[in-house]
Amino acid sequence: MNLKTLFLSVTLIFLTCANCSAEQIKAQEYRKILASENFYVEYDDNNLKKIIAQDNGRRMARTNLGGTHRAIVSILNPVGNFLANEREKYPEFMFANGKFYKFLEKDFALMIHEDQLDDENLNPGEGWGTIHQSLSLPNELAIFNWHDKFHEVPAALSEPVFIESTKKIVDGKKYDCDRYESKIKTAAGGQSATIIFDLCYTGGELVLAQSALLTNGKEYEINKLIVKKILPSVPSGDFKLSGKEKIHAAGTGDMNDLLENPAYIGRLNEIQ
Amino acid sequence: MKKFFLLILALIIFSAHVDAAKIDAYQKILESGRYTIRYDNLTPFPRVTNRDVVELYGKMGLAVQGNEYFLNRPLGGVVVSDGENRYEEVGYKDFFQCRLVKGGENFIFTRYPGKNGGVEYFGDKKGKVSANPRDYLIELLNGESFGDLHFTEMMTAIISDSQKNAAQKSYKFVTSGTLDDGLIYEDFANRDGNTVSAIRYYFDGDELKKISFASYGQEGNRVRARKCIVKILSFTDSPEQNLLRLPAGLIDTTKR
Repeated sequence: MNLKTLFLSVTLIFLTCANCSAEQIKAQEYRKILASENFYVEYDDNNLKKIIAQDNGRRMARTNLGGTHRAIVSILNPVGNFLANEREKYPEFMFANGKFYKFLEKDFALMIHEDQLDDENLNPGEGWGTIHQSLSLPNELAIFNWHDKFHEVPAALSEPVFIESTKKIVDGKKYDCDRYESKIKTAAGGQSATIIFDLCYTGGELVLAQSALLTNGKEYEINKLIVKKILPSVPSGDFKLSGKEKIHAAGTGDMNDLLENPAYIGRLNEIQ
Repeated sequence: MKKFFLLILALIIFSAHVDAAKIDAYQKILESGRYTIRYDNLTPFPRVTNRDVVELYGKMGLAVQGNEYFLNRPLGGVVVSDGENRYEEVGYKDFFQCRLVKGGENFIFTRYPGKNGGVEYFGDKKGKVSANPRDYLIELLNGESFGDLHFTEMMTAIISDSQKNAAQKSYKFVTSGTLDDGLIYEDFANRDGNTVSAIRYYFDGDELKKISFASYGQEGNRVRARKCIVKILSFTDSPEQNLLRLPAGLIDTTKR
């Protein structure tokens, strides 16, 4: 083997390895989309269809039946399915102009200002304590925008870092999977566990996002999401709001709260 | 003179270290993961909203303090762990919320007085319970729970920094001494931003008898203060095995 052949062989090996371990091309595009002012993400989580969207500064989210559950409902209850379709077009949770909204019906929502979230008198039954979580991307997808305003990260959890890209078979299907790892840190500065995120692509598109916990030599599955869509804008007609939705004050232990008769504030377009 | 001063200083440091050692025995038990703890939380929790002392009758009337369930009573608690499985219960008088973590499963149920002086259980239905998958991630991120919130803080403070995650408070030894009634105390404190927390562990000889906790500080625009006193009924290094399985009278209906 002469020197030229040796050099070419070494270069080829390096290039092949680099190709093996590089992040999928689309990952950078997802990062750009999810950090922008407009995006639409749809995924299935344990037969629940979840949608998180950002529309010109308004963050919205909702959960509907998905997967096989939805199919069963469709067959058994066509009227319910029609109503469910109607509901699908409205947000369940929303953040806009410093205010959080929780839609109990399509035209009836409770609202609080952002700085009210730590009010100790907030009605715990209304679940305002988890509103950030409801509007946040799950950890598996937040890899593309870890510091998103709504993504609350425990102090012990480090930002995931890209490890490698490999070909994997999951449930009998072949994927190109990007692996990321996040560390759980101890108070003494050590590491107690690792979270592994596998983002799996087919045809260049992200279709599966799963995570697992590695601790004491054991691996536990945390989550498995079927990714349906990651779009740079909200599809037309989705998350539509007429502006006439009736907005009411969140319960803060006052008489309205006790009588379960929330105080009316105004129409959505009047207070935004 | 300088030597004398250094000697006194060394004695103080040495005695402080020796005094703080009483809690070390309990640290070892907690970190071994094998224990049974029974306690009474003597300080009622602060009310979160008016809802906890008000009962509504339809939409027309209300009776303040009609709900005696939340009135000032000691909150009893039991925590059992054998390193892999875990049982916790908290409750008032004879109504208890229970959680059994067994293998990779999590059972949540209540225990309350039944007919003829017995007890009954309610999981999904009366006498039946089905398991949820155990959430290992939450356990790691939040640390282990010891029943109620205050007692969890008191126990977590004992555990060394290398055994808890970065989000959990790290308490440092401050001082120790002996009270007029003969009880020995060891004080620990934590400063987290604008909040100062202090825990005092009381010992009768080497036995942990009582714990008090206080915190004071600013959270957002508010000044918050919390306090709590817990009486330790027993704290042993032997897990009560009968509590680490579903009780008789509660049927497991989990579909596996």
